[in-house]
Amino acid sequence: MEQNNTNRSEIRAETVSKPGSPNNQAEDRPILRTWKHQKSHPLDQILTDLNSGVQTRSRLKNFCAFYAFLSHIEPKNVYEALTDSDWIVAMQEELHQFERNQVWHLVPKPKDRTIIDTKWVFRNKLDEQGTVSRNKARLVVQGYNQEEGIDYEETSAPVVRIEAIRILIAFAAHMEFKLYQMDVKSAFLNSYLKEEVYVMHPPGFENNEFSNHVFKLDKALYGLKQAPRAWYECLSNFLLENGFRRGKVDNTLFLKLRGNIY
Amino acid sequence: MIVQVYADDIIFGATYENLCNEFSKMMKSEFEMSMMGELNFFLGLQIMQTSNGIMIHQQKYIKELLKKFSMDSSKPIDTPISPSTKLVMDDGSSSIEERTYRGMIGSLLYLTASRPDIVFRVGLCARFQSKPK
Repeated sequence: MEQNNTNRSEIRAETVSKPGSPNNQAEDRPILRTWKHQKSHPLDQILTDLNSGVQTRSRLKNFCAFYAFLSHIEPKNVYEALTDSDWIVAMQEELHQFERNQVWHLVPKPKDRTIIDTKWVFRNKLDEQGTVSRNKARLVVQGYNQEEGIDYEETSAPVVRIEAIRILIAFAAHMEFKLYQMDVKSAFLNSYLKEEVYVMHPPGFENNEFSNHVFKLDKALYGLKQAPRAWYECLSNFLLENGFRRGKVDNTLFLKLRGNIY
Repeated sequence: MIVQVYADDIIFGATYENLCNEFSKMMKSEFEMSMMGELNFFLGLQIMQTSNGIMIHQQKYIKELLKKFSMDSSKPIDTPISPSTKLVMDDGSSSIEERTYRGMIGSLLYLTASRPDIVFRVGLCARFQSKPK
């Protein structure tokens, strides 16, 4: 953009100076002289951004489908977001999800416990063509206010190494079976917390009736130090209950044998 | 039945198709899931499953890397390094930023998952990381 602007102003300066310089001879010089043929279209007459590329009909279709319902800016803070109805909807969606998953409940404010602040994070999800396809608001906990030993104990959670995946792929190729993939929506909201964690009201959605109450978390939230571990434990318990065996070396691998076959 | 877990992503496969269906049904009853279908992209690794076998590559990752280190217009070279290359401390030339250099090495180390052929030169560069020139 910036480069375009400088180009544009340079060209504008040129076009201004040309008819301006032979000012004293303007009477005998025919006006036609200034209508010089230009090779390229003057930049100051181009309306849209040059980097935006060519619009095709199929792209426009997708664009139109969402354009009216989505905000194209990412608000910097919650006060900015509260002025935009699209973002309010997005925030309400997130809070409804908490309700559905029974993430927290209101309790009277406990003494001598740290109450952790919460914060909204706003992101626009882009599709493959780079147009905004979803406004996503996520309430996160400011985990750096947690105190070790009180608000959390263990935080480490095993993750898979890419080499392990490569071996799995090689094994799948050898055994000639297909691999499938799926993901869990808002995984952390599924996992129960062992520790007692209290958080503040979400900014912008404070309830004045319960101003001396805080939320006690039953399940993990994004930003909590122990959230990934809680989720791993939740998932592995579920799998172990259902007859899976944990891999001895790679703890993120689960096996279930039927007889002698995989 | 094999299940591999990475945070909220799950890969699974079994020698019998119906085991897979059973598993996905079981998971859907417990958690809110979205089925993404056949495995084709995981942790920057692109996977193609064909009847002849499985192919893996990291083309997308490589392109992003080139863009990140603004080398997308650099000239491709067939032989990345001569085996007799010796890296020495050389105070003649000006230093480059150490942080970027280390970032490059780290990114290239991840790339060795699908490109074992670059292991030697990446390892060689990784041995000399202080005051890169």
